[in-house]
Amino acid sequence: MLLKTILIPLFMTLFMGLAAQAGTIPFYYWDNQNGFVPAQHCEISRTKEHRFRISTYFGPNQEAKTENLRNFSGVRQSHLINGSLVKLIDGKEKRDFKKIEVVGVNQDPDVEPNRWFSQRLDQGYLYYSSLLPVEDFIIKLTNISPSQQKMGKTFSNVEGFFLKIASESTFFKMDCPEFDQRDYVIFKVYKKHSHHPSALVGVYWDETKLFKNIRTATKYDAISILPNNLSEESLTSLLSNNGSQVEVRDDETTVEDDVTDEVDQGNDEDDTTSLDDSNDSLDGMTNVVCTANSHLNVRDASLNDILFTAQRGEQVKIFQGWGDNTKKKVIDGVEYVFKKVQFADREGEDQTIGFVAYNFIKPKSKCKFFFNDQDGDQTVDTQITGLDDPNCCEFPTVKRPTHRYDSGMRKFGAGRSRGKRLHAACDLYRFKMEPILSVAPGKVVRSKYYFYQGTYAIEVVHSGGFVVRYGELDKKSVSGITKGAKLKMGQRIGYMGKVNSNCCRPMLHFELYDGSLKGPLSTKGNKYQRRGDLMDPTPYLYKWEHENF
Amino acid sequence: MKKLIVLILLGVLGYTGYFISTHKNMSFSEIFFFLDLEDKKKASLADTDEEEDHQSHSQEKKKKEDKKGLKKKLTSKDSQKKNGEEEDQEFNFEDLPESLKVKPTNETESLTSLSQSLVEFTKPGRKYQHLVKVIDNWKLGSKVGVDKNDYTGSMTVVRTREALPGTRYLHAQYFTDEEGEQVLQHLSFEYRPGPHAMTDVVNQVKTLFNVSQKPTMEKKDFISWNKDDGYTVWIKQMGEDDIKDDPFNAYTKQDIGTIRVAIELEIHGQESDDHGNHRHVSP
Repeated sequence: MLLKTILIPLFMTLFMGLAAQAGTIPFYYWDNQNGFVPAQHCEISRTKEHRFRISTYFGPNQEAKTENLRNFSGVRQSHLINGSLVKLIDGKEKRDFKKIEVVGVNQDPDVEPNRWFSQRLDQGYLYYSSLLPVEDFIIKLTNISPSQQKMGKTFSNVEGFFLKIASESTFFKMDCPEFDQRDYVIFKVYKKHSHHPSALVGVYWDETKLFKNIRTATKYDAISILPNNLSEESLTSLLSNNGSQVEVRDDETTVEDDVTDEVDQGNDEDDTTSLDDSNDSLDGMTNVVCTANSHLNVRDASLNDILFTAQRGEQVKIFQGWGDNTKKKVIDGVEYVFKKVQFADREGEDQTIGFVAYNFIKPKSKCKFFFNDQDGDQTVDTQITGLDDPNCCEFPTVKRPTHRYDSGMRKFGAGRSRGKRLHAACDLYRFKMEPILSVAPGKVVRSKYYFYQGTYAIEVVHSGGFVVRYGELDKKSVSGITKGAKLKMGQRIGYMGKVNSNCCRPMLHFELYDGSLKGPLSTKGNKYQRRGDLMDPTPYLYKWEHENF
Repeated sequence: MKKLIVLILLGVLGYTGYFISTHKNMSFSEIFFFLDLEDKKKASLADTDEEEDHQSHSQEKKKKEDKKGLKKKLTSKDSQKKNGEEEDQEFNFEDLPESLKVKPTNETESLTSLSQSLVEFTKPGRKYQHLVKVIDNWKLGSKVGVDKNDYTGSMTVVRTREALPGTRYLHAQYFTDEEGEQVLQHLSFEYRPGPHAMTDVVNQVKTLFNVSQKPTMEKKDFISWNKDDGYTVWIKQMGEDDIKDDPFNAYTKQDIGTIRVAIELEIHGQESDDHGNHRHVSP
């Protein structure tokens, strides 16, 4: 009786579970452009190390929720929330510290955000004891953007999935023939409350957009979420059940695709009229991958091997000048031109430069296949009536300037060029690469442009109509801060720069206009060499400094 | 005969009336002067599309325009163009220095020509259209992009498709106000890296700018002079940090040591109360 009612069903369930388990676990690797890419053809091998770590506070304050991210000189740059995922990067060695880059900030609901928070891709130095092994944590993926969701082949929605690095006596990596220089560190992917991983995903240290929005927890705290996570099945057994072998793989050469496929597609293109007939952008200066297909092969200098693929709409910069930047290849009697390009927005350094068929590079405004695919992170404008609104405004630097901005050469109206002209801004001294913040809700009306001695400026019209030129920014961009971008008060819009001449400390050159006039901000005809509605920002900066600090 | 004379007079009056209506700000004598010039007017610049792509093959371009069915729009760009046409009458290509008229054939000539462009295009009255003419004469394929918005007006960027030997990334930024007045805010180019690259460039700039005074700022990899016209000219030997994240130009690590030469509107002056590791030289 016991056999029939309990034991047989139990064994059947176990057997079916194991049977279901065998041969079903899919492999993927993560690609920033393509999302989860099937990787059943990749081989898995052991590796002793990887670059990922989890941050934590180290020190006497048991309540601390963040750790200081510092520059090489030891100056604090920002606060990094405990439990954030970081990666070790190359850089100047500093005793007792490691240079890191933030991969994903832990979205801890108990931590109140402020202007000082580190953001993804921030770099700096963490104390070595503030770096914990990632295998002691689980990582939950949150706030997956619509575009990332669409990219998934099997996972239509990976939001809420948990990742845990595969580790036993060693870690594991995927070796995929198309990227023989890359080691994809393997993470197991779990659904909530599941006992077994749903998949394995390899993540390359230099392509980590998967971890853009995360929550982390120690594996001990996560028992209720992943019941088996303290005694999970080893990867080796999982793979054996799957029929895979874990071994060290020798490198193989890449098989070249037929280049005629990609150039034949170009023959269908004619001279196109831009969909965007707008007269008010530099889209004609920006080149993108323009192809009817979703991808374009990027080749090495010999044009024989494919290095990686580029997505339609990806921004490229074309090399010019000295060096072998233009090549030709005859295919079926027809000569095609290939140009050396750089992909501006890619993280992975080994996937930024290559040769592409010039037919498929067009100015953004002339590409009929390109559609703006916004990330979906549009900020919402808040209500503010102008400079005199009680809710206005945020101070544009993360902390008080180190020097007074109402005296010396830093003040508005200070003489320049032996008194021939007057300083049109207040100079706010802080530290290089510190975030610069939008003082009020607004919209970017001019993207970053060359401003002065290797620094840049952007122009923003704020709620109520006043205009600010944020000058002497570093060239490093904040993602999404381009012409037309809507801004929140306090939103990061750039980083503090330093001029080539080293005449001065790093600073923000802050120009303020009341918005009553139109036309360019730089003009001739008055002593400031600026538009006539230029204002002295000093009293407003006093107010904002007092209110914010 | 009388009727014929009357008809001719009516025609002249009608044309004058049309002209007055389209040049309201001009004085009587200016109109007459302009009318005189109209008889001698040469062919205008290229089309008024915001992205002008000046090709040396005008027939191919005309074919493209016919195919697309583009028509010239009478926009503020047109009035700028008309102003540009007027300016063209004052801009005589033949008056340019020789180094700007003849296409360079080697690195040394390129350096001379581009350095000369920094001198020439900061002179009063010089417009981006004039720079474009020089670029087109060199057959580098000029690219003109206009960035306009309702709040801060118009910025015109001029670049090239191709580059002169040993140089690259010619880049100019002009601000244009509603009256069509242009201000050159930035003009630069780059020279290839090399053991004597910095010295070569500095010597060239010194010669062309007739810089007799000491530089305003001088470091191992940077030198600058402030000019009396509100511009500063600077030369920078670019390091690893300098070639990262440029919004316009592509680089590899092999480009470390590239020399950037620029002329820009001066912002700071050198009356700084904070000093870095440089030799601060008074002008």
